[in-house]
Amino acid sequence: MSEEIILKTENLHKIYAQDTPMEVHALRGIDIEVKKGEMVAIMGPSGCGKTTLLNLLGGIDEPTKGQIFISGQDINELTDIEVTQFRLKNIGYIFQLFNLFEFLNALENTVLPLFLTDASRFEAEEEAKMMLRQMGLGDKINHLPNELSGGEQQRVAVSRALLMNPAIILGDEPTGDLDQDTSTEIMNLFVSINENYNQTFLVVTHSEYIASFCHRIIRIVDGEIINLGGKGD
Amino acid sequence: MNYINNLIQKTFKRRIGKNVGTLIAIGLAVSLMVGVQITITSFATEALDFFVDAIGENDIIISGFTYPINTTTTLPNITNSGIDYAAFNIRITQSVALYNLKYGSLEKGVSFVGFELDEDPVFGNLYDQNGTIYRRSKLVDLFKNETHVIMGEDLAENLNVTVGTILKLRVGELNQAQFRFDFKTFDIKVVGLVAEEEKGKELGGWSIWTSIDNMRKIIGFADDECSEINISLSSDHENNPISNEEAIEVEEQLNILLDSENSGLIIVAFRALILETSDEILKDVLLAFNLFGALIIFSGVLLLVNIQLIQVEDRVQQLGILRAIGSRRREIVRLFLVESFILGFLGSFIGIGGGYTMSVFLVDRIGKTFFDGEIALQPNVTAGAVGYSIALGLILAIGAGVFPAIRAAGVDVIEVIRGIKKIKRKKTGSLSLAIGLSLILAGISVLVAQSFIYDSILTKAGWNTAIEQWVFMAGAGGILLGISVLSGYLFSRKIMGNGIGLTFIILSILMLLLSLPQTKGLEDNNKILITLVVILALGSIIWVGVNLNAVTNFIRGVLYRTRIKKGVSLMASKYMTSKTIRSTLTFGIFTLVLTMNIFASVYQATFAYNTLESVEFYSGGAPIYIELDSPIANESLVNVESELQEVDDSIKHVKGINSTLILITTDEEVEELDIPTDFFPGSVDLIYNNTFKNGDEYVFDFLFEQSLAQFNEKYRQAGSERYQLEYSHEIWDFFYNRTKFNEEGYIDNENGMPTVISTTPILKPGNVFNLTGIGFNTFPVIVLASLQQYPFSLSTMFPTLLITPTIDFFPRLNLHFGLYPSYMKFLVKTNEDFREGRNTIIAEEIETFFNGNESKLVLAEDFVAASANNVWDDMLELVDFQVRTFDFLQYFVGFGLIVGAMGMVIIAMRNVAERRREIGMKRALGYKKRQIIGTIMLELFILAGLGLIIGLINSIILGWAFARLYDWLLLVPPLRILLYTGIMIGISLLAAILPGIRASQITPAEAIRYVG
Repeated sequence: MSEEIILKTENLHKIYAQDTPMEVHALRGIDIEVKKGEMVAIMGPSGCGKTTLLNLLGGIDEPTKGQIFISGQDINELTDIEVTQFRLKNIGYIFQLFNLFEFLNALENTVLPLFLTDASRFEAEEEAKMMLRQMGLGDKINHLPNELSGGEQQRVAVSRALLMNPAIILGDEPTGDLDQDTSTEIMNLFVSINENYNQTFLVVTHSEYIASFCHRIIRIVDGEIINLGGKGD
Repeated sequence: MNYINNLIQKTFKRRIGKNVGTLIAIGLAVSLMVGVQITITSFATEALDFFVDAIGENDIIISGFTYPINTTTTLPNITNSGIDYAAFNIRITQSVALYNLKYGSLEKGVSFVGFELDEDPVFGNLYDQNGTIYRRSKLVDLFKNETHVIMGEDLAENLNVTVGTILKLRVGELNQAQFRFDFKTFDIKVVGLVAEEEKGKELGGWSIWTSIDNMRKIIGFADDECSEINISLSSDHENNPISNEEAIEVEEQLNILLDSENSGLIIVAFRALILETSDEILKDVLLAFNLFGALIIFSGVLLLVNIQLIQVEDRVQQLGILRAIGSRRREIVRLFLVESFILGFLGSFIGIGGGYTMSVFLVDRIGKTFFDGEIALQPNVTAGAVGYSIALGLILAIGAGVFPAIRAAGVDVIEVIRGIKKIKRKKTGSLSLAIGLSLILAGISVLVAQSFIYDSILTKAGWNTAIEQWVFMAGAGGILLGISVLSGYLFSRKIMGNGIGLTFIILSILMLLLSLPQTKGLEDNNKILITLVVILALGSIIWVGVNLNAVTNFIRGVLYRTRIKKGVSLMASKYMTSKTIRSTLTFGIFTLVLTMNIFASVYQATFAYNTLESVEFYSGGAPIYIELDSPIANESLVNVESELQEVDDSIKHVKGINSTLILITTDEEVEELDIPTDFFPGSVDLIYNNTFKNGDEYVFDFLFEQSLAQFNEKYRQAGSERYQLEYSHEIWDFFYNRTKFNEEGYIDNENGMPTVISTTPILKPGNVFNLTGIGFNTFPVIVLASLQQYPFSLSTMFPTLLITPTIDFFPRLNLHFGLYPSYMKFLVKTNEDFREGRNTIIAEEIETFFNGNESKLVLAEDFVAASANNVWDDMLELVDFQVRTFDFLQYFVGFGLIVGAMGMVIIAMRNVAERRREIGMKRALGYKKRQIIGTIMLELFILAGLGLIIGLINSIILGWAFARLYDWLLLVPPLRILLYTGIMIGISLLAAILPGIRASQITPAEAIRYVG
């Protein structure tokens, strides 16, 4: 872990259906910092704003107020095209439901981000194959998602998220759809990547067990941080 | 049942927005067919009104065929017959030529009518230009002078006539002693014009009128003679109609009563004949439209199935839950079918609206294309059209809903609940074994039955008609499909799919090569051609659909080499492959529509080009033909042949032909003579050995396209030019040698009949019929061969027959026919280039020569009513009309493109709605908005491109088969193809842009949350 700040938010607010009777203040002034190589868990009860925060950090939703810096870049200043490009190169996403494309095989699902760059087909596919091999899926690169187990599908999703060597990987309940053993397997994989490649992770979860794999746990209740603590807090 | 009803009500209400696409699709398909129905009905009604108005309330015409009918003896027979008639009148009608000396304007074939001034108004009144009826007193006054006539407006305009103009009129005066007409010239004065808008004008304004008494004096009829008796069986057909059967019954009654066989009277139920003929013509037109309409409907069905399948996928969760809580499969099928029924019913009303709108355009085009705007057609929505529309909507919606409904019922509960997909078996189940074997057995049975019924299944004996060929296709197709289905059980589904697709493709191509040339008639030919268009299109759609994975892999490989981001190419191509059936149905729509459109344009271009290309070859070396109005070119007075050689230095040969009018009557046994009546007028050209030949050299060399059975085994239709020449020369020799043939079409000089050469497709080689000439003698003849082209048949609606002088034959047609060379027609050969030369100028010079003062004939005549025509110009005009007809058909099939375009938009919109989550995921991964739009567009471009390529290949195969049939050069019109490519790109853009924008606006956050 280094002292370099990879992610920083300042006074982050998100209000849904603002100025309507349905108004929901999902986030209320979130200030967090994540250093390079850090594994951070965000925990809180259902509806506390965890996923909203993750979406804001990933640039797939816009804050009502406040700023988000990733690798020093204020992503709110970027245009839609720029933020998309920024997300492609700097943010890896892992979802609870894996979000693989069912009609693409493991290799094609993995290689997609590189296929949006100018990389040659050969380079891109070789890199994706290497990544899948590292994830232990070398013999399943041609398998479709429905031919893979839940754990294997999530490993494909991890391969895809890692392929662009992003500044940070955001995980939204990445083991929420997996059993205990497979969840442990996936979290061990995250730890191993974190240790070997100094990869930064920010994982949203409501499981204390999953959070225990992280260096630090940030707790949110009703859209506010109640604890920025360290491991075991 | 109750909960199903509840469910239908609830889901239908909630899914109204999503059903709009289905409704529009049904509406579009119904619109097309209903549009055609409304157009045809309107055309039939209005065109019939046009003709029927022209004849007034006239039901029966009794004609002396230009010879006099004695009213003293004939009329009492009619009035005392007990026939319940409303009115009758007598007239004298003659065909005359009119010449306006001042302007040099000549019109031939004008109807000169002498009528009773107090004739019954049931037959209509004459109106002046202001719409005022010509009263009897006025007419008596006008016709006091024997030379006074009143004239139709159109004719007056063409002859530059105003009231007061004096014209030259040529009319035949009856020479009672010699039983023929002597042609004489009169001066007539036009004293009034006749408006053509009112009822009873005998086909409008191409007539002049005088009193019957004047007419008798002019043409030498006695006071109790006329040439025509008109009988009306109802004074108001609109409110008191007379059925065709009633009229024909009266016709038969009169035939017996007036002893028409011996008296020579021609008795025709004229109105019934017009109605029957119109029915025949409309039946053919309707067939053509319905065949193309069927293809459009087919693409509409593909569209509907596609949309319904999207519905099934959209509701897979709901269906899984329904199954999990205990719904039976048949209840789910019912759920979908009831929804389809409601949609079909509602869609049919959209269809009525759409159909009406389409017919507004089509009837306008019919009026402009075929009637030069003279008939203003109005769409006419009948109760029948509404009923048809509802029935069609229901059939379409329910028919297209069956497959999706079965698929919906087959939803796997485990797959839905666990969100997984089971891997399908590679092979098909035991049902396919049963189906495969049944198909093979059925196929073999059909072929065996066919071989018994038609003697043979692989030779001409079994392939003459469309039905025989359809039966063969069913038999052979059954066997091949059975083998394909069996291979699904034995090997794999993919082999089965390939087998089915290839069965259709190979069967259609083989049939194009082997069977199509063996059909006899044009109608059968077209039926088979259209069948093969459908089979080929279907086969290619199935085959490409089965191999879509390989096809898209190839396309992706190509796309990777372009500047398009690989992520876009990968997603677009893989998504299509993942939805094989839907993608296949989508490009299938384009394939069908484009096969139709491109084939129509290839057909048109090939037909027009080759017809024109072949004109010179078929013209027999006669670039100019001349027709005189009367037999005046008596060589004893003037040798017109040698006189004409002086007109222009380029004229090489001139040959005169004797010609006379005849009546063709057919025996009931002649079934192949596909005409709605048993007699019709024609003309006979007498051809001597030296008319076309100088020794062994053919100066004018007309080619045959079909001949008698005698030659069938040795000769085939078409072939190379050299082949056709040899073939024609041999048959000409039989003709010149006056060889007789029996009814079976074989040489029989003892008991056979004299032969005639036919210039019309309605009189085919082998047809036997009677010729009745002036003098009322009849003579049976057999058609030896039909000519590919004969210039004189271009200028007349009547068929022309060629005969050779035969001692006991031609004098019976006309006592004086052939006894001396009184030529009415001339063929002219020039040194000029057939197309680019001065033939039109030479033809004008010939007309000037005859109709001016240069010809020696003018010494004997006041004017010579001659027309000289350039064959090339006439053919251009003829082909132009056919091209316009094809164009009209293209307007119609063009509506298929609209179906395709709308279908694409609907499918793409529904696709996007269904793929919100996938699109959100892409956005989360880093796809830019334009890359999302690009993916959607690329999918449609690929599908449209596939449709275009297959449509093009299919059309070229079909066009090639068609051209091969006539030994023609295949012409693929590049501009049209380019136009269709443009339209396809346009449709894809149109279909992709809206859904694409909608897709790009999906926010990743919203989409990732979306689980529906």
